[in-house]
Amino acid sequence: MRTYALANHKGGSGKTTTAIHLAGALAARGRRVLLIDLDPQAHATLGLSSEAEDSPCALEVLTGEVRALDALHAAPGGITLIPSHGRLAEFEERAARELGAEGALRRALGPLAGRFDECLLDCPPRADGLLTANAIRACDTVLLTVETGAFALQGALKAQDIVDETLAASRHAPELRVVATMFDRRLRIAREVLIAMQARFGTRLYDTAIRSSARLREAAGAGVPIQLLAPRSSAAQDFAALADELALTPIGA
Amino acid sequence: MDSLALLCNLYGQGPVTLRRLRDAGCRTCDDVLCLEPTKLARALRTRRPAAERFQREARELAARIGEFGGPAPAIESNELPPEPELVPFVAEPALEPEVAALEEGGAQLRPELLDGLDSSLCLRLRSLGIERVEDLARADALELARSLEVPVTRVVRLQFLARRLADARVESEPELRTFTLLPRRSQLSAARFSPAEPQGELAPLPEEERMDAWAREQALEPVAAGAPAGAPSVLDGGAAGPFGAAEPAAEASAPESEAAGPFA
Repeated sequence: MRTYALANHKGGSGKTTTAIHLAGALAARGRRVLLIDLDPQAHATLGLSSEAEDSPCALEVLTGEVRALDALHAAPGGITLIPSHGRLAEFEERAARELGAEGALRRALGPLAGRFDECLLDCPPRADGLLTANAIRACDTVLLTVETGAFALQGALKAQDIVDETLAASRHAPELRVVATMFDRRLRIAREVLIAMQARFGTRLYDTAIRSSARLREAAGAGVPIQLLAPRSSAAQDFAALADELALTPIGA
Repeated sequence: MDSLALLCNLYGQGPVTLRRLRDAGCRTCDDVLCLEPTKLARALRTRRPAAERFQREARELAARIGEFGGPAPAIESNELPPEPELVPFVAEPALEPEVAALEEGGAQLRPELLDGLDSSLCLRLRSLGIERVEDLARADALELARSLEVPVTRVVRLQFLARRLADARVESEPELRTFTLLPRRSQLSAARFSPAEPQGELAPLPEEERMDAWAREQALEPVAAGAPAGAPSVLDGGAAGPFGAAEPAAEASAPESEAAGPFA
């Protein structure tokens, strides 16, 4: 099972949107995809028409109260989801007193390794928190989502620094890759940021830049991946191309 | 992301354009520049002008990111690259071929004269009475967009290109042309039908009247040269026949049904 952690220090950079629709694109390719919502705002859970009010969520999985197998939800588009809930915010407080809390997710995902091909971790918009640290420890690739707008590059560089610090504190060394999101080629600032990102990250930046699309907003409202709502849209094409890149890129390449 | 992917994201349709270019054997911006525009247009499934513009953008981008002069400089600090105004980012489309085409074919609108003006749009414009570049430049953008059922931004862009093309055409003409300022149709009508105005030589005549006058002159000339005064003419109902004999006026005044012949 290949695990990707979608992270950025900046909010609104497209982490959750990328997580949902990339999971949908991978599932459309026939991959067995698990999406874990690690954001207490639970937007990925809502974006897949799910909720965890009365059922186990990521908090119980992280604290070991529930096995990960028992927290799986079937979501639209052939995605399997471990949902989030507002109570996940308690994790930082509860785990702060425990040793090795950064490895909780990695331990919990061990039994799922043979059941899924891909696992996507949707991180909260805080790269230096315990939830993101858990995601970074559990993943093979840190997927930095960078919005092609003002201040985005600074946010990405800060997130990269935090990821590097987290990695330096552990022996685990996941790969760092970058995906540009919300790209609108009509905007000069978007073009300039993309050129700057290409200069800064080089081959670590995926070839596919996710274009901004009204269809993505509609899909979030409908609670389904874009592949179900508008499979021929430019957004669906972008996520399909990104899924192709992920599938074609061996881990560590 | 390599330079080719960057080019496709910036100026193409992202992964679709990238896949088509890679299928055509392109790996870098340099490969795009080496392709013939026709082949590139075929690979991208677009028109030749769009392919040429794509090549110009590839050249600009390659020069900017340093593909021709070594690897792209990495940004070590957390600073954004210099202000984009220092380097022209979007190449202005060259006007020379379009102006030349305009001079060859006049100012008539035709497909591909302007970027984005395809054959169907050209036909619809003609159906609306817009046949010249100047007409397009002067038309009301909002109404035109509604009539054509296209986005108003497209119409505005077409009008911008049309104005620029028209301006370039005027600038490209080295000398002033002499032309006659003709009176307007309304002025002609007023002059012809106004009882106060004398019917002088300048008063234009309808086509039928002018033809009649011309026929009268042609018929009168030989008669006037060889026949005595008072001889019958076609105007009087008789004319000099092919054998020189004047036909009697009484026959010419026969009923129309008989004089008109079998094809009447």
